[in-house]
Amino acid sequence: MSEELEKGLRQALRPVDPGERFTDGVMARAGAQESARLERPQPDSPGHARPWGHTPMWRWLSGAAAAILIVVLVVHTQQVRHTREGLAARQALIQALQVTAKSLEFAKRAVNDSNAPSRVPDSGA
Amino acid sequence: MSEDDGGYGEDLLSRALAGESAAFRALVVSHQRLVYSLALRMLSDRHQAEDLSQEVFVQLHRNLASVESLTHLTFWLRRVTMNRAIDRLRREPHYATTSIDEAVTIAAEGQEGDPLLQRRLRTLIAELPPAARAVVLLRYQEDLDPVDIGRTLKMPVNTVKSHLKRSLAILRERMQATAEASRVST
Repeated sequence: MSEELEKGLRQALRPVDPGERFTDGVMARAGAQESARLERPQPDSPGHARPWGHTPMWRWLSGAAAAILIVVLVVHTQQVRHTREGLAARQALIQALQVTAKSLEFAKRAVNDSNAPSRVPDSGA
Repeated sequence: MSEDDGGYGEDLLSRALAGESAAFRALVVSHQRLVYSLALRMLSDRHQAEDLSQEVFVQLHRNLASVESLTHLTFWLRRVTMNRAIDRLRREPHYATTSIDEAVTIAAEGQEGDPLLQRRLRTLIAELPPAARAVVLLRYQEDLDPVDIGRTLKMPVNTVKSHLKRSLAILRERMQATAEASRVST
């Protein structure tokens, strides 16, 4: 049965030819594909206008500009932070000096008051 | 066209590679039977089979530079045809259940064997799942051994063998059922 079935399959699956115009159809489709390929400018041909952002030069320049911008931003942020810290330190120093000055003034007054000769009230005798 | 054609095929291939249109046309003529027959038995539809076969040759035209020899060309054509057919069956599964185109069936029938039996076998093959159908076609239409079928379909040899075994069992069983049904009816 197996051999018979296999023989039957080989007979049933004999190759067949396509229609008469098959080859012409293939050649027409291949020709159309070739024409489309030739009409489409190649990526590196002079006629091929790439969007400006896609040229290697522009890609390189935009990358460099982005890097420079990032560096500038980082430096600027650091400078602003340093300035703020400096101002805050200055303010603290001024406050400290003011407090010290007041304390000294207070101490001076106290010393002066204690050194002053005590006046004996005139008895009139 | 074969490898022992005195180098005519290889000469055609190199001329086609050099851009000679007539040589490419000759290559198509010499291989269209193979491609179309596989596509037809996979899709069971004459128009779809012609369309798919033309697509295969257009793809060949585009990729001719990658073809190394006439043997490689045949291998390439079988592989691309089967892959495209299986893809199309997955995208449009109704082809899988379409009964085989009768006009082509009759045209394909030769003098040898029982035409009714052959027609029944073709219908049963068209009912097999796509992968199993591809294996059966490459085995009995293209006469490939399981190793070459595996290479063509990128399938392990054991899977090829199990597809063949299972498909033959299904076909045998259904053929017996048909024979018994016709005996009962007469």
